[in-house]
Amino acid sequence: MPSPDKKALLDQLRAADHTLASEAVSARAQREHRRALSEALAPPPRRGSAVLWFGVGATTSVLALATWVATRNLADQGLRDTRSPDLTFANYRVVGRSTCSANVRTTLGGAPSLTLAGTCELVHVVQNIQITAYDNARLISIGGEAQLVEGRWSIEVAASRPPATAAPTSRTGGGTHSFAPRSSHIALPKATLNIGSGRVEISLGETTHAVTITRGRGRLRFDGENVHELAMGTPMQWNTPPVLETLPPAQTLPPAQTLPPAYASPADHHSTARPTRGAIASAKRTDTSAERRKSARPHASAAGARTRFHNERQPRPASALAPIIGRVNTLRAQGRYAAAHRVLTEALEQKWGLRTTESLHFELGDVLASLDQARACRHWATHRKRFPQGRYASMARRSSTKLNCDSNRSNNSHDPNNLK
Amino acid sequence: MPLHHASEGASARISALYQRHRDDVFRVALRYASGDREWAEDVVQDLFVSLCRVFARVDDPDHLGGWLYRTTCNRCLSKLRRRALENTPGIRWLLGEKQSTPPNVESTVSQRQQLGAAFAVLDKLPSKQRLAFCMFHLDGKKIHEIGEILGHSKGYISKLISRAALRLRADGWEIRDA
Repeated sequence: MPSPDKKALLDQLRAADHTLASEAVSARAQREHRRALSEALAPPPRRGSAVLWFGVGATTSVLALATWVATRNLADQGLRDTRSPDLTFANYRVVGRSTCSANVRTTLGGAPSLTLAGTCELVHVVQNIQITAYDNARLISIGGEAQLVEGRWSIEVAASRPPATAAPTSRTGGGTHSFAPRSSHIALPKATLNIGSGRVEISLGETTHAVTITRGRGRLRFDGENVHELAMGTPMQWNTPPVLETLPPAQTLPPAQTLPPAYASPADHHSTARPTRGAIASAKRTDTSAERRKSARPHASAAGARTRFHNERQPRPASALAPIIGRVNTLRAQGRYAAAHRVLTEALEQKWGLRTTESLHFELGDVLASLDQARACRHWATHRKRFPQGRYASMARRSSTKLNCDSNRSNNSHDPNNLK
Repeated sequence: MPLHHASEGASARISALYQRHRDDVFRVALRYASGDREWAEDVVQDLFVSLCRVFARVDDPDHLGGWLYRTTCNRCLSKLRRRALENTPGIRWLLGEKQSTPPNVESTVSQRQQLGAAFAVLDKLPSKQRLAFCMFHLDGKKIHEIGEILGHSKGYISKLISRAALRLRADGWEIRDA
């Protein structure tokens, strides 16, 4: 039986509830609540935001680094991106990019190359030269100066007025030449075009080149010595070996001194760079270009003589080497050294220029080093005898040492499988 | 929805809802807080901060009475359970407290309004029985409504209410059957 004061709990609870009905949140609590709500409605620092900002920062840093590296590379190559639609390559600026596609690359020899597609307008950064390139054209940068290599070009040179303080215009040969002191010069394969003012059409093929002047006067200077005056409307043609791998001037072999450009041998101008890792190593060598010239000049002269008297058997152009080396590289990457060896052996059976042959021979030895140690030793011995001062002599020597060839040489000297 | 996505309009509406419902929530919480104002005010703050988080998913913000009551009850239940856990001897020993901190005298409505006897009775009940008992007898909620709010079946809610009544009766109180 409940006591009287414990009766009707529910009534007491309802009375308490009724009493509480007059209670309200205090003003202090309300201020706190509003502050809490404001904080809740404000954008709080979230982990996702931190990750996002970290990602943005990291991406920006990477882009900045990539831009810096790219800019530095361009600067090293004599290129300058003006961050405008124009592209500056050597001493020319490509303008009118709407109809033109320009790609800058580095040739195997290390020289920057600019490939143009479509109709491209170029202007000289200093001289009053305007060049239009049609279809596929290419020029390279040698020592910061552009050389037209291939393609069809139209060159317009405006007459430049010499400054008042400059020396008066000189005329040579009793008016035969009337170039201003600032006559513009344009580097071409094996030749330099000098033109005071006028218009010149140039066609640069793989081996045959032609220059036709349609207005003004100009002349072609071959190898800095032979000068040919351009006759109006008459194409001036000359031949050169194809330029596949352009080298910096210090590495370019001199042409056969006694031969005019039209008879220059491919061996004189062949690339010296090898498109595989050997080329990279070769570039790092301490061999001087003079040493290479010393070893290569007799061969070049001989090749030139052969070419002159045996035109019926021309060596294959160096441009034909690229697909072979590409195929060999693919096979080597797949570990198919025997197939690579076969490709190189078949290639060596063809007629090449001396330097190309040396490159192929070295490649063959490099493949053999991974295929058959004994045969590689014999091959290196042959290589060192055949190219004692060649570009790859030191690498061949190192490879022989690595393969411990000296101790095995006597045992294998009479192997009938000795490769050339 | 994240809080910072709340638009300016949503902020204004939440502010208006707080203005309109804060005292209702406070009173319900105050009952279960045994008159502890700070305890109840904490519940109010937690509840409206939660509302900010879910406001974008609320279908009809103008009719939030049900949501507010349900959420207030569940918040109170959680808080009561936490307080009960903190008052267990083991936890108090771990926390280095000899006894739980009593509510502030000045802020305790029950002491000021002489309501201590009635709330002291409810304090003896387990948290869930206390809520179910009050919701049934004081707020007039149906068994199934209480079951929906607390997330239990009707049978279990009936059992909770019966056990609470039995306990109070055993303590000498007269509980009339509803």
